[in-house]
Amino acid sequence: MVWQASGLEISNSVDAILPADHPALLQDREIKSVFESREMILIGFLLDEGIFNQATLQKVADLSGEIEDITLMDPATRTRLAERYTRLPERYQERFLSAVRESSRARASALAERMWREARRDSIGADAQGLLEELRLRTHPVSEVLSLSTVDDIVATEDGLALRRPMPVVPVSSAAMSRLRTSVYQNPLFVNGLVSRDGTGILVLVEMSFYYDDHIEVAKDLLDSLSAIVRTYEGPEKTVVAGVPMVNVFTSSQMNADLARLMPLAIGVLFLVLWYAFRSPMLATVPLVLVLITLAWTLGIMALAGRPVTLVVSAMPIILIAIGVADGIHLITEYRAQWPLAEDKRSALTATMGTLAGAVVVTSLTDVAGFGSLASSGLASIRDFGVFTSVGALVALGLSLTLVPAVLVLLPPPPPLREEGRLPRVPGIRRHRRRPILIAAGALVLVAGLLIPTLKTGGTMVGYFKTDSEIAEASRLINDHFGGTEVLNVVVDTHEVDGLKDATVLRGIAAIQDSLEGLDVVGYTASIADYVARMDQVLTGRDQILGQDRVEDESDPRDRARIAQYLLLYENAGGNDTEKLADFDYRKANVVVQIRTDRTPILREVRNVASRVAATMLGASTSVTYAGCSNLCIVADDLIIPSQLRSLGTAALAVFLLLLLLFRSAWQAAAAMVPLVITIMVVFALMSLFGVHLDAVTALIASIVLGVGIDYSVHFISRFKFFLREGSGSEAAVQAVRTTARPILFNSLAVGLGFSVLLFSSFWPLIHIGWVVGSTMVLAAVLTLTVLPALLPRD
Amino acid sequence: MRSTFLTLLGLLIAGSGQLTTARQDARSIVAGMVTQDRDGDATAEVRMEVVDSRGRSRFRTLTLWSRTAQEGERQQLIRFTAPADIRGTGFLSLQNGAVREAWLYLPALKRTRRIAGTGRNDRFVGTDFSFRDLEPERVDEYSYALVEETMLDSSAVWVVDARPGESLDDPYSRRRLWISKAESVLLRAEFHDQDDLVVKSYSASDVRQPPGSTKWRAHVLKMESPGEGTRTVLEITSYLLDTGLDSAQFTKRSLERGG
Repeated sequence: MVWQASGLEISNSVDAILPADHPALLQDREIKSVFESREMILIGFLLDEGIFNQATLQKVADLSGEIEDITLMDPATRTRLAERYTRLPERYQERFLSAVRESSRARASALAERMWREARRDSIGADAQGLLEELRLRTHPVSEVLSLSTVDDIVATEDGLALRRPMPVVPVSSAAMSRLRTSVYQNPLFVNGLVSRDGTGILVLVEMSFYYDDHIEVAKDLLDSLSAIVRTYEGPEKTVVAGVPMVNVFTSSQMNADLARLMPLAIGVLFLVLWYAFRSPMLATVPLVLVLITLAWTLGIMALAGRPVTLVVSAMPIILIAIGVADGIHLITEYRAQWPLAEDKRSALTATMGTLAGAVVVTSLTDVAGFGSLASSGLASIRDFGVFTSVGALVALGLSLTLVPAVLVLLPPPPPLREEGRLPRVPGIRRHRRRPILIAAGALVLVAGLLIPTLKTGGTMVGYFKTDSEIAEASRLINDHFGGTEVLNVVVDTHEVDGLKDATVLRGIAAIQDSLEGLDVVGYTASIADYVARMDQVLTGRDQILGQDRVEDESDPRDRARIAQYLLLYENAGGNDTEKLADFDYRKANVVVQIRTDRTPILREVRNVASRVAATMLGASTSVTYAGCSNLCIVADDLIIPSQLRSLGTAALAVFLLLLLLFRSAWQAAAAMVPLVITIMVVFALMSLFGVHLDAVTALIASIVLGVGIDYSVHFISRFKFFLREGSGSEAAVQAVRTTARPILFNSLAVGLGFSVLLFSSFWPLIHIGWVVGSTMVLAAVLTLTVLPALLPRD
Repeated sequence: MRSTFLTLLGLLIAGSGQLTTARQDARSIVAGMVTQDRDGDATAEVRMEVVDSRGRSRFRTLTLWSRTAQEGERQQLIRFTAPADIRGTGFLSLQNGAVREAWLYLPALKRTRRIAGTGRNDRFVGTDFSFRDLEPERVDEYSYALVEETMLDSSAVWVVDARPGESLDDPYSRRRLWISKAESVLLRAEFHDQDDLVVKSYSASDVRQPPGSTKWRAHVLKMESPGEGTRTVLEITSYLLDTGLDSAQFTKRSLERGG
């Protein structure tokens, strides 16, 4: 299982967060394939003195060339791939080996491409096809490099028109340099797209030849390789690498680093706590062994199921540690209490299991109910988190009932629990305090209720990192200088062949672009309308179709012919940059919008502006849809609140039914829920108060609090019912508080400490989970010991 | 250059079929085909279909006039006739030895523009033909080898391999040509890249004599790019050969006269 877990895939792209069959995701793929567009990696050269100098531009040209020829075939990869040749049908083996060993990138790529196509036709099986696919991508990982030395510019020549690279060679003379500068700034498509408006930054855009999520390992290698190449160009220019694929890779590596750092830390902290509690390092290791086995099994099962570790899921190990340790604490505490009364270890354990097995089973089942309800979430990562945390809780339950007693039998007898330790002096809850407690609780509910409506929702990716992290700085610099790292695709569908040749449609598109560019956060837009306008400008010297030189308001019937002929001319001149902006038969246009933030509420606002303008400027026969990472972020975000409310409702209901079954009293079951309801309200109120946004990750907090916190109520009411057999309700309540206060408070402190290691995470949402859960678990414990007894019947 | 398209169309369309029955060496087989192709003038109505990798088609129709004034001097005029929005758009290409000039006429602007050259290896108007594919065979720049004599469908053919000389910036390492013995018409061609993979394949069919001519012409020309999954089909719906076109019909003025 540990070995299985090593095969886990770590990814936090938005694709991994949404369920694979979500319509928005399918539509996104469809649109991307129509326009053959994939996320871009942005490489920036920044120089305050200005980038229009020979040395910097030479770097841009050299880097563009180097990246166009990049391959991901280091010696280790060659060896690894070569070792797998037997997975291929025999007729491919020899060619595969020669392609793997081939030193010429072009030749290796052509061989790989040919085999891959041949194999796809022959259906050689997924494993073999995957191997050929990997070779194909590694020998050709970049489909396009866009920079001043590679893209086409539409320019007027003395007596005609030409499509040529703005910078076929790097200018040497200052006259040539200033001509380049002038021509670049004359084309609106370049400003903020490839060079910064103020001339202090220049970009090289790299498009991968595959989708990030389809081949995460290859993508990581590519980005590592790109970063290493870019570093060799550093100075005096500052070089930065950003873009969504880069954020994804950085997130994955930070998640890895987080897990490697936080898990040992959590286990270390809990070991010290347990050692102190049990007065025995040997006993302290028992719950930890349970936790480690639980983690190995759960992560192994997850790997077998082929689910990726997302940022949401990366919180799971810490939660499993908390859950697993809680069971261990209860069992060992009781064992130590039973030991002095029993003849031998075996009978002490039998008594322990007799007393606690039921409670352990029920608390585990409430965990399963709390986390399992997340399986109904609309977000794949939350669903995974719910399912696998439940699986982990069940594994921990199984181990608690079997492994723990088995190990305890083998260990030397425990140090006995001292009497004062077992029944500490906690102030009993007197009847006359009932009213003030309920009033205080009511006030807490009221304050929380007032704060909750101001809770903000909305995720981010870059914003999850601390501001001094490499990726946050790179993103900020790119966003400061250029159009923006985030892309929203506004897809305008005319539903008819050649519909885009209608001038009113192009004007509608231009109007959408104008409105979007009016927003501070939008730094750049591009569409087929820009190309038509550029051709118009170059060929006629005026902007007649779309711009200010238009004579009348009505559509000129000649516009259609003009647009069609411009587009024909463009194709004819060998232009292919419009392929990403209009589909094959000019039905659909892809308006590329670059945005300088990935905060979802702002992305949503941008999308709303586009929708509003589209509704007024485009006819009813034209429809607008959205794609791109930004859109998926909005879609994912929209799913969070309804889906969280549903999950919480389901969880609360499931927990209530379990309690009803256990207590056989609707009143007791309902009362047991009250401390948790108040705690969850306080959770949301705290988040609101401290500006923590509700997003896919922080949305988990309420479920964690419910799943873990309900255990206190279970223990409390179990004790209460036990004492109720011997006396009145009020006495039973006092007794229950006296006997459970220490384990409950201690348990909540242990869980809180366990969660507090998340404060050392690299990700803000996990840090938030750390402090919010850490602090509210203690609150849940206190409420359980005060409000709950106040609600139970006196008689 | 656009002109190269016209050159090749002209080449393909004007290919003449002098019967050659004797066994010949590869070079003279190709030279014979080329020389005969360049003879005379031609007027053709062409229906062009471009199919993308998702199987969607784009249709255009055009009229092509071509003429060989003297050796190495080619004149070509192309005018789109459909779809309606590009009707009248014209290209004029004049080639004199190595010098080639091209003009574009956009009826919507009523203006002629000279078009600066693009790469020979670029796609022509979004079709599967590159400009180079559409140029006439430069016999002196290639070495030819006869591979075999065989049957292609029901035609006896020579199969010839053409390899570029060292100095050529040719994307194809080898082209295999199937030339019909009876008509001296190129029936099939495969374009191999540096790794000897077939990157494009050409095929011609419906070979017959245009009305009033003794020359043989393929009337359906197809170019496929298996790697990209795209293809282009040129169907010649009307063919007139040697009608005596003269230089006055290949000027900027005639380009601007419109369709």
